[in-house]
Amino acid sequence: MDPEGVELAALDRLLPLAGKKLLEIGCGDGRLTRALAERAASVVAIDPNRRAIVKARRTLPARRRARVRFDVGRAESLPYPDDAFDAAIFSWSL
Amino acid sequence: MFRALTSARRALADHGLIFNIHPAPDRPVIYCDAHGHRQAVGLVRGSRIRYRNADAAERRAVRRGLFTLRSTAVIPYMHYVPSLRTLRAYLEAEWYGAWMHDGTERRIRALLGSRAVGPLVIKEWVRVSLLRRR
Repeated sequence: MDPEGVELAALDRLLPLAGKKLLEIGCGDGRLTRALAERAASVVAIDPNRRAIVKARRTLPARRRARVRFDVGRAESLPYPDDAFDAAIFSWSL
Repeated sequence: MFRALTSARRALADHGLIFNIHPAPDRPVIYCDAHGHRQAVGLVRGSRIRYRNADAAERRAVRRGLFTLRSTAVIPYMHYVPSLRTLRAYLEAEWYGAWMHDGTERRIRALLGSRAVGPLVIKEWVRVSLLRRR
C-alpha cells in the first residue's frame, strides 16, 4: 500500500514529527506506526482490533520498541490522560 | 466520528494537532496500462457515505470551536495491482463493500487478453487535513 509514499509525504509536509509525542488512532496492523516511529519521539498506537494489534507488536522492529506502545481500544473512548500528546493521527480511520 | 474527534481533543495538549487522511467521496477510477497508454476502464463502485460522514464530522468539530482548520488538500493516491484477479481480491479484502461492473472487467480483458494479467491502477482521491486544538 502507498508505493509512492503519498501519505508520508503529506504528513512530512504538514506535520513535522521530530520530538513529538504522537497518538495514532486506528493503527491497524501498524503499517504506518513503523514509519512514525522513525520520525517521532514516541508513538502510542491504538486500534479496536486485537488481532491487528498482536500483529503490529510482532512486526515492530526491536530497535523501535522503546518508543512505541500498542493498545487495544476505541477512538470514541481513548484511555489516556488529558493533554498527553502533541499530535494525533487518523489515517484512513476517522 | 465526531466523538472520536472530541476524544482525541481531550488527549491533546494545548494547540495540539490532528492530521487526518482519508479517501474523498469521489469514486476511484480504474486504469489499465496497455499498448503504451494508460486508459480509464471503469470505476470502483460502492458506498462512499462513510467518507462524506468523516468530512462532516470534521466540519462540525471546527464549527463548534473545538479546532481550527490549518490546512487541507486533496491529492491523488495510486493503488497498483498486477492482474484482474488480484484487483478483485484486493477490492474484496481491503475495500469494504466495493465492486466493479461486468463492463469494467470486459474492458480490462479486451485490453490485456483473456487472462487479464497486466498492470492495473486504481486512482483514488484522498483528503488530507490538519486541525489545531482550540
